[in-house]
Amino acid sequence: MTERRFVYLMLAPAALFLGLLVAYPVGLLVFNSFFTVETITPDVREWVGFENYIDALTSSRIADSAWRTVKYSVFALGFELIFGFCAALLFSAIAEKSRWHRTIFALPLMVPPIVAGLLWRFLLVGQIGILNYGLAAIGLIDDPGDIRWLSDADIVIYSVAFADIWLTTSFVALVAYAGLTNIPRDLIEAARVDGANALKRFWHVTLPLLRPVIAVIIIVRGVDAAKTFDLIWIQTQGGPRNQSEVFSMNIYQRMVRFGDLGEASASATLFLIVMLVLAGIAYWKIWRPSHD
Amino acid sequence: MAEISLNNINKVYGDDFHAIHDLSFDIRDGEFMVFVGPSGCGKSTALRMVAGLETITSGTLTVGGRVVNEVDPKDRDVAMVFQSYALYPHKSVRENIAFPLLMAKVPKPEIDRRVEEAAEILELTAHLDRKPGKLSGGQRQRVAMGRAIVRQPAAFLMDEPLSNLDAKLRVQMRAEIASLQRRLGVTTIYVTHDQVEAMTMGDRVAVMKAGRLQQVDTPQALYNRPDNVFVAAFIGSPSMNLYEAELDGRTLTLGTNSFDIPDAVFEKRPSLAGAQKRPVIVGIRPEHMDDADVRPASAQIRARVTLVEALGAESMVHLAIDAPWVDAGDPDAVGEIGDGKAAVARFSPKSGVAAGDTATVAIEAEELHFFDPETRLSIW
Ligand SMILES: Nc1ncnc2c1ncn2[C@@H]1O[C@H](COP(=O)(O)OP(=O)(O)OP(=O)(O)O)[C@@H](O)[C@H]1O
Ligand SMILES: [Mg+2]
Repeated sequence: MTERRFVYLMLAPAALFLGLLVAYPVGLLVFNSFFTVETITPDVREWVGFENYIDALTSSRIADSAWRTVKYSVFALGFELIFGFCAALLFSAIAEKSRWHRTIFALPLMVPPIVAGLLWRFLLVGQIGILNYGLAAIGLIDDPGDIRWLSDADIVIYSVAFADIWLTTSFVALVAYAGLTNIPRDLIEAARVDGANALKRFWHVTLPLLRPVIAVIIIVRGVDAAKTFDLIWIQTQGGPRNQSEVFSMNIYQRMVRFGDLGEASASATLFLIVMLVLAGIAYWKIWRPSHD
Repeated sequence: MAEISLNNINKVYGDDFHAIHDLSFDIRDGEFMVFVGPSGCGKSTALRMVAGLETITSGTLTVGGRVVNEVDPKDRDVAMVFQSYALYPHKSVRENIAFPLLMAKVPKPEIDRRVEEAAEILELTAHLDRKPGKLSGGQRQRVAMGRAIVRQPAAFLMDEPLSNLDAKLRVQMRAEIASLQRRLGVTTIYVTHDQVEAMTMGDRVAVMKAGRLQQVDTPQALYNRPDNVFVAAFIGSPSMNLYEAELDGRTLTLGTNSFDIPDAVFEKRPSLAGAQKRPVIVGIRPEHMDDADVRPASAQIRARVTLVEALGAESMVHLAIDAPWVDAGDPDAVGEIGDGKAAVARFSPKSGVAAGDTATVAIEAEELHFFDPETRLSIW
């Protein structure tokens, strides 16, 4: 018993910290979501029950921004996984000699999202976007003005994801590389002797053993991508015509521009619930080693 | 099924580490060949080159008459059992055993039949749908065997497959693997550092030391006619006792003791005849010494008893012999014998010697081994 008490004692500071810094604000958020509150006068509350939630769930602008968040996250995460795993496999193929490559590859991790956003904005924006000049130079497009990355409403939500992909592919690659180096060499060799070619070894041995790593990446990066704000804001402020407004931006707009703290709180609460459910599913489905 | 032949195989790691020197021998079709030697002697490296997991620096390797130096492991048609078993942790026992067949695109019903059959042989039927993580060490070992035998490969390659099992299970599995191999008749290379395993399982045994082949022969021949000091000391347990001695005519002087060598020895080793004060290394196996009070012999020496280990059926008697002790170069042997320099004799349990006594030891002189101190080779 004393040992258990000791454990509680050691946990207490962390618990207190969490209570103050997480539970209280989250509690306040949920509390506010049941009232009509103005951002400028947060003391004046009017109880409205679930009205904020009903508004949020029926608003087409919120639904659109939610759908955009999904598109953005899936697009960014998908490419980060593909590029990241390819890089990790490459690193492990050249093994020890990859130390320098790995270090250089990790550099984008040190770049603040704001800077990355600005950088990509310069690469993509309108007539001065350097990317289009490059594409035109190698003949992929006729004129630098052909693709309006950040002002074409149909593609803007994907264009703004480039910065995210550029910024965090290295994170995925490093985590995946760490996972790869943890796979016992014997298993890969056994598969080789058992007649599996490189592709089959990857499919039957490497990939299944990387499940926990993949789960971590999907949870961490997925949640991260879904709540992206700064990276997109710096590139487009949600435009054109709100076509790059993601969910977090919608909450922000509601709170700051429209001053509707109650409704923003309701959206935020919904967002929180959805994220928790998704992370839970990812955890149960992928991370936990099959138990039978 | 196939014969495997190694011709002047060399392995150099990096720029300068020469792990295997000019390894050459043939393994016959269906033969059980054991690679044995102390840790780090290159047994695993040699086996892995046969598997294709390690490149061959020079020399040729043929399996079933085909040169396979450049052939990918998956196309060599060999099955391997790893020391760690290397079972796929996420696959069930059934899927593990079926894996090589799946890779070979064997039709599903055929896979099922052969997996069931292998499971039957290895008594794994009840565990087919469990994951390897839930099995005992012995069962995992069987699954690894199962994955090798379902394929009916040209050769089995096993790298210390029993070293993770406890002593009792090891003895049991030793017999099972040997009889399974005889039944299937598949050419097998078995790596171990345990000379008892080598002697009991192998049709022939290749003894290696520091990347060089020392001798390859049947267990009996290795025991009776070791080519050099190392093989003499490595094969047999406890090890052969080796001392510097001097042969003059037919008189052997061992420290302060001397005795006559019988004619049989000179018939067996003609080049020993007519020696004049010739320095030799003499080898005496523990089983060729006994208490002279129990079983007298014409060759006898006096030695102080330092320790007696009574095992019931026999007594291991440690003797301080006052001749210079010879290090055979087997790193594992030292320590096994206490201070490393005492001779070990297998006395009959009727012997009454005790530690501290000075005993008269009878030696079966016709069983002595003689080696050249310079070359360390047997004198024949
Ligand atoms: N990949 C490698 N790079 C460099 N040296 C190696 C490599 N693999 C093995 N060696 C060296 O080659 C020698 C032989 O190694 P090997 O694994 O074949 O020994 P072994 O006889 O199997 O020993 P053990 O009984 O300990 O398994 C050792 O000295 C080892 O250090
Ligand atoms: Mg080894």
